[in-house]
Amino acid sequence: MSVAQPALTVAPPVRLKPQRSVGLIIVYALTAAALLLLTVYPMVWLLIGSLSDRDGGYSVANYIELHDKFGAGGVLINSWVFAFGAAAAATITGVLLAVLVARTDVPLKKLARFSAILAFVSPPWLTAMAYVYIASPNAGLVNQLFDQIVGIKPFDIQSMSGMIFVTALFLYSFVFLTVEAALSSVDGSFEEAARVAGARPLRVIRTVTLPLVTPAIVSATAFSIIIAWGLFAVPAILGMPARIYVFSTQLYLFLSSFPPRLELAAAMGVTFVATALVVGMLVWVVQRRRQSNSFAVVIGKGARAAAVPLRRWRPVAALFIVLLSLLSVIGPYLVVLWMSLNTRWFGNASLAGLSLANFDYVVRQYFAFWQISGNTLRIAAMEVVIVLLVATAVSYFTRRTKLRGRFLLQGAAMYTLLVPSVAFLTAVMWAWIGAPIALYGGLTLIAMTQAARSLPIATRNIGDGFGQIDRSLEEAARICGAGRLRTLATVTLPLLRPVLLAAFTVVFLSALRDLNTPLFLGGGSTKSMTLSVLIFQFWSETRIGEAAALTIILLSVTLAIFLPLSRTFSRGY
Amino acid sequence: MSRVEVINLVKRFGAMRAVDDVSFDVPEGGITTMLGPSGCGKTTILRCIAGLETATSGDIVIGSRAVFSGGQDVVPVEARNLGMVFQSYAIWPHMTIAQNVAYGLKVRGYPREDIARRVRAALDLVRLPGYAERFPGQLSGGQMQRVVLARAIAYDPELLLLDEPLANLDAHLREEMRQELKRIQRETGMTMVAVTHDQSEALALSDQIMVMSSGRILQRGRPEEIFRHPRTAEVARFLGATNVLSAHRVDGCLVVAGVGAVPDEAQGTAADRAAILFRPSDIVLRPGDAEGGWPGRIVFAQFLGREVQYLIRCGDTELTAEVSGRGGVLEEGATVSVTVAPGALLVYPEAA
Ligand SMILES: Nc1ncnc2c1ncn2[C@@H]1O[C@H](COP(=O)(O)OP(=O)(O)O)[C@@H](O)[C@H]1O
Ligand SMILES: [Mg+2]
Repeated sequence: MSVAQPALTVAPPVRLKPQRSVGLIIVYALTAAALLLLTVYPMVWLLIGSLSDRDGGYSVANYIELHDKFGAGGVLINSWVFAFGAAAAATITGVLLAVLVARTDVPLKKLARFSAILAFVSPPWLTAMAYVYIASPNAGLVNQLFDQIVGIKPFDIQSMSGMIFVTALFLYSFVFLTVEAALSSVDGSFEEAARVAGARPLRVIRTVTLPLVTPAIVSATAFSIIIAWGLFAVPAILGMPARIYVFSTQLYLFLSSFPPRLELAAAMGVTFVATALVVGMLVWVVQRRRQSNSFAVVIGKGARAAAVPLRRWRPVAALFIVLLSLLSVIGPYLVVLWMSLNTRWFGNASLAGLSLANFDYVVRQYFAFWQISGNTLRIAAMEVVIVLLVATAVSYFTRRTKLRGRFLLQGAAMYTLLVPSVAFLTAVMWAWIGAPIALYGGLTLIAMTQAARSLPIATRNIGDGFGQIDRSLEEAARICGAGRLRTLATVTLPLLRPVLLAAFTVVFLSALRDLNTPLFLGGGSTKSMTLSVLIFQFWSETRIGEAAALTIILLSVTLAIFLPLSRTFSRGY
Repeated sequence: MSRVEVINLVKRFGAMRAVDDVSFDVPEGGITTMLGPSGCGKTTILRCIAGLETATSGDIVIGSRAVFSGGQDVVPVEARNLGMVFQSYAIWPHMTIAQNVAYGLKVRGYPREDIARRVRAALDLVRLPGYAERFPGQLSGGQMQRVVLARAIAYDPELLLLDEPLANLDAHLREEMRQELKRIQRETGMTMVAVTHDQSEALALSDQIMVMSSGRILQRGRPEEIFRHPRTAEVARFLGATNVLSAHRVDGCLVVAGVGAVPDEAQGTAADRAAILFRPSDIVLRPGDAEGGWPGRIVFAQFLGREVQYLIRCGDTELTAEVSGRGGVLEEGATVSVTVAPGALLVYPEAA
């Protein structure tokens, strides 16, 4: 090299200095630690708990006791019937609706979509309460009506079929949203090719459309089963009065009996986690087989399949949509509103009895309303912060770095999808009840646990968001001289904003409506109670009007947050 | 004085060597182009220079700093002080044009007035004044290209890297931007390394061309030198000599089976077998079977406007010819006599 270099036009780089990625490693370690604490640590304890007997030793005694108590009967069978029934009904309804909306000229598509999204964000216990009011075996409104006219009371919502019915009315929305999204990403030309080849519309749907979205249908069904196993509110409100127990309600009995049978609950939890894992594996196998058949479900050039004309079936399909919206959302909302405005119970209600007394009571007179509302918002806020931080970090590591172990991190964030909610709650109890850090019974633990439950969906959505940002947008920033952190702050995160906003909405709303976590982990004191728990408590004390009034308040908050965002939401729920 | 030195660079993806022991240097000022078919490793080399990809082994020196050495990126991307034009443009959609261009200046901590002045100068240089406050969504392809350029040169980087800079533009814009690129290079004196798979683009743009294939450099030199004297048959073919004849030595003369003897000027090799290459545009066609040419028959004729393209069968081989369209189109099936312009035959010895 020559000695004297001619003066370049280049200005001396002012602030460019090599940056080591120490910061990155620290964030990685923190994320790993957070996940260990949130999702891994409790599950280890569930296993330990299920194996500990009451005098401090370890054995399989709990499993034997479970087996002796329930054997092949009762709870086990009920749980399967319940979960499969609900998932099957939800799948049939959801797929039918998805095909109608995505592939035909059915009217009222907006109504169908909108009610599905509302059904997805509104609490399942709301629907259950409404149906008790309408169709409980003795006092239900419709039953009384029939009684007066024809002298029979035909409906019994407090039964296995009632539980399945109400659960399906909530789960169908999940199936619909999943399958409709899949259908809209399938290029229309596949189906046009089949039409050109001479197949009639119905045959095209059967032989081309549905096979293309089979993976989405299978996974939606499987997750519906797992969600149903974790569902507590519906079996509690509809099943327990009729002494029909499923997994979640039986677990609740173990935990609330005196003395609590934590170890039996753990053994039961492990059993259902194992079953859920089997279901998850089946899904995985199906998806793998599909992929190895190398179906390239090409995300086409946005060409949508031409809408199949329904002709004379159009009114029938429209009726189906109206009925579904009525049964799943509009009806229950109106009934709960009616309940909240009535101070008299059931058949005695009348227009003359309408008043705001219930609202006045819960807001102005109930001593802990503001404290409990504050708890609810604090928990939701904490949860959102935890979930968005961890999910964004995990997505960043899997999508943007080659650090070793990043897929373990992703696994730790996602696997709780396969763990039924109440089993996970039992695990959390075991993990924290005697722990040296006094988190048990506090708001923080409730937020952490809800966060663990919301991490899978948030991680998936944010991860997909990263996937949609062209790498070169970030590389351009690095070339311009920005370090990793600055690139993240000025390019990646701003581009992710819609995705983060959608994730925020989902997580926040699920926190507001969640009943299981604060109910199981709150310990019954108003210090850690949330609105949903208070509603459940009012309901259990048959203070229907108060429960309904609180529900309306919670629902208003939910809709106020959700409606302005529903547009972004419907894309990446 | 060289601006970039690449020494024995290797980049493996799994077992595949995308870059296979490549060494070259880029002289100060001027445009150096990597030319080669898609998948030959051009982008990978560019990304290794940028630091976006970590090479497997070798050394990279930019200016007088070793940026990659001993299997490690000694200097990370952001500290290399480079500019890059991405094939996909990579203009940040959430920032205005001005904010895009100002980004590198802000990162470097320039004072605010300086930034404004330099952004204006950069946009003037790429002839895009008055667009500063717009968002990129409202721009055409050519304008996006100008924005990317402005963004990359606003902070006077040591080196500008361009990955297929013109590939996304339609034909007439491509020519315009090619001239613009050259003008900007001449006005700023900046050193540029570009990647392209288009030979005419490389020829027009470059001060130095490196012809690449399967992760290796086949030949390096000035455009004219490479065009006139391709060192191997592979380079020749890539630079447009798509007609290939194989010849044997018979009685001391090279003869193409079924066609005839090769003109004297091409007898320069001593090998027993040779590959003879020439460009379609170097063929001269005469109708009928005139003296001195190879006899052939037109299989297929395609009128392209300025020229006519013919597929001609000569003995066992098919040749492509491009001749001026002004003389009318010869009919398919017509007999022609084929000669090649003097000096246009490229002959390479072939192993037996
Ligand atoms: N990230 C990667 N992982 C695996 N293989 C890669 C990757 N990037 C490039 N390759 C492979 O390396 C070879 C060279 O690629 P590239 O440099 O992009 O070629 P070019 O730019 O010349 O078209 C190709 O065969 C390509 O498939
Ligand atoms: Mg390339």
